[in-house]
Amino acid sequence: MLTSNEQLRYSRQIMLDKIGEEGQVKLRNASVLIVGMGGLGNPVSMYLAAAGVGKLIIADGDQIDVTNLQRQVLFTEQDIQQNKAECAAEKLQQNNSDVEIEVIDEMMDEELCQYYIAQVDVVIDCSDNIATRYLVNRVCVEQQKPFVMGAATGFDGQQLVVDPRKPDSACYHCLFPASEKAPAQNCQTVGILGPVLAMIAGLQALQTIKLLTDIDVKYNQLNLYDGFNNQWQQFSLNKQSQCRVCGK
Amino acid sequence: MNIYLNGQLTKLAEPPMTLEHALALYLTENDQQQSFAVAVNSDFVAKAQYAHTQLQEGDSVDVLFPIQGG
Ligand SMILES: [Zn+2]
Repeated sequence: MLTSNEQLRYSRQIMLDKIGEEGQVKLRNASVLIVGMGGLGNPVSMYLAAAGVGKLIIADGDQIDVTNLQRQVLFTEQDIQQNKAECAAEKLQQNNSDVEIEVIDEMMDEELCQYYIAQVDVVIDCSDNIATRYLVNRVCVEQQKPFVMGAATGFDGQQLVVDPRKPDSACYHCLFPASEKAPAQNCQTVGILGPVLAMIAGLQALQTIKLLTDIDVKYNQLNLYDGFNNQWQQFSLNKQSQCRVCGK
Repeated sequence: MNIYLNGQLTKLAEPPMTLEHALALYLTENDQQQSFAVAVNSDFVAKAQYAHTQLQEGDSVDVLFPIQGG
């Protein structure tokens, strides 16, 4: 059960019926992998560390650059040139010393994905490129681990939960079958406003807390955020039986 | 006949029209080569169904591309 310190620290979320002490214990016993410690990974990791998720494994091979500071709110001017995951781990540990944090200071490849995804309860995709997103999606499907996808550029964001434990859950590849000519856009080429990332990251963190505390989370629903017109849209999708990744 | 294509009111040149035909007419060649998803009235339509989906007056057709950044 919870210590009296934990009861106090997390009292505002424990007082929610749907969380309670039981939910807080589930969070404490949970492990989460966050792939990417950029504009999405920063706020996602901050909320999960603050909420008392027991173990965070955070992965990023990049160094902090001055152009990151406009949106990657964990980092300061003094942190430039440090590895993002390592630097984030320090800051997160300052927020919550009870959380165990493991750093992967390189980009996720097949081997790292296989190894780390096997160790966690939920995987959060905060990567800045579609190749990593496809890789993480596939390994999550193989290992039947819930996958919380997020992406944002410009004023727009996309968010999807894939839950391979459910036989009818579509995967990211069902939604966007891989194409060799996929658009080569990322933050370097199209721009992004920080708060748009916060909207998607907030939703990713929320979905993750719900998954970890056994609250029903809608899969097969693509959440689309249009920050320019201030609109959310939901699209429903179906598992594609001919999907190369999750189909039979 | 009018549909909404990504929210824009669009008059279809030659109704009746399938989704496949409309995509061929209204998406740029570059767009058509990329990975995208299509929803009609907020429900995704599988690629194999594009040719069998007849558009109706007032349908909302949304073409989505994967966002890359994070
Ligand atoms: Zn699939």
